[in-house]
Amino acid sequence: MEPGEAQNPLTQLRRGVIEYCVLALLTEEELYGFDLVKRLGGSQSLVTSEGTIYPLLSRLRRVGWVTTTWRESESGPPRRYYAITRAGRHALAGFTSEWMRFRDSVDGLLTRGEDHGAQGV
Amino acid sequence: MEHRVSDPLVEDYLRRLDAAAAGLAPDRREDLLSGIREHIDAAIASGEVTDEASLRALLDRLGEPEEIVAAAAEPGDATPWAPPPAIYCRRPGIGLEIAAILLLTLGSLLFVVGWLAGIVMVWSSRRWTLVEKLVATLVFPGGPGLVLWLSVVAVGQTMCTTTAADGPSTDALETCTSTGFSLPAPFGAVAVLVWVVLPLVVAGVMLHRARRRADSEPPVPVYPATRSRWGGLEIAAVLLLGVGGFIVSVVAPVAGLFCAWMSSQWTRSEKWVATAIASMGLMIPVLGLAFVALARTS
Repeated sequence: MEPGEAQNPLTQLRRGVIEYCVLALLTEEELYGFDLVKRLGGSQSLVTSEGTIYPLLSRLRRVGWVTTTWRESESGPPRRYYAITRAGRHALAGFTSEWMRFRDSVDGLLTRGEDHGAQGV
Repeated sequence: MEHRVSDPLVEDYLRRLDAAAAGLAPDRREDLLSGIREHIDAAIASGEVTDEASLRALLDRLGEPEEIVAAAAEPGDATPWAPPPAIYCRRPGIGLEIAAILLLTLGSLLFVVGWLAGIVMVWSSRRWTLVEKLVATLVFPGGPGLVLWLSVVAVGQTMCTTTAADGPSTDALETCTSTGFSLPAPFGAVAVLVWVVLPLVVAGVMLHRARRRADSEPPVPVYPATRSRWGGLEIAAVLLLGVGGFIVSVVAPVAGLFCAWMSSQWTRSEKWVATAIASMGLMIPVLGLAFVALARTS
């Protein structure tokens, strides 16, 4: 890990969370890489380098959370479409409930810190 | 319909990515490259990329190749540029020098070939000075083996005949006749000294010096990948074990055995294989004698 990376705690957090965001996007429809990246990129703070999504997709495929199918496209070479699997849905459900609890605890602590800070001033 | 982009900017980017991904497993490296390539193709097909500026912006958003590969790296991936860890350090070996000396002395019995190989090895060593190399070459011209070969060829044969003595005595009378020429005794003694004893003394001194100089060199780290099983010592062992027994009975297989067990590269089981071969080599004179005895009786 690079020193700069360690300084930003969100980098590590992002890395852990983003694969579930990909799974969440795929629960609605099958998407190809470029499209997936576009939709993730909609929220700027989530993806810093779009290219890093591809190793992530390949990892999701290896663990069996997504499957891929090649499809012809009207414009350009064939595209690889990603679809979520049953195991992927299961993992996403587990993460979602964990995340809710985690988010609430962090939010609770952070807002309390804010209150104390406000009192000190 | 295939229309792959062949823009130099894209090619350069993919080349950098490929280089950065050298440490990944081949299938994952391939997967990553095709994924990125697909992304670029899709971006162009979508009409997002229209000119060089928009292409640069696309590549910028993808991120630095190193960054992408870092995201692909998982525990257990090799970093290609890091040298493998040294397992241990050993003192510098003098396998080459030992093999050279063995070939100059015992190897010279392989007629000129063994001695010549020894000379080549002596001159390729960096542990001997020019003077020492010259001494090695001039003191061993042909090596002690040549003397034996010459004595066979030039001195000729000594024939012994045993005739039964007359009368009731059971004593046998032995008569020996030599053909060819024979050297005067004092000259012969000097020749033996020069051709056999002196080379052995020089051999000992040279080996000692090589060892001493090797010891003053820094220890050699041994990497698992570069650990060769074939040093000079091992080659000498194979030569001595393999063909030595046919040329110098007993001595060559025993020397080969010594080389094999001295080896730091061979495993114990490999050394036992060498021992088995040596024992066969030791059997050669026994088999020869048995053959002669059989021929006599029949």
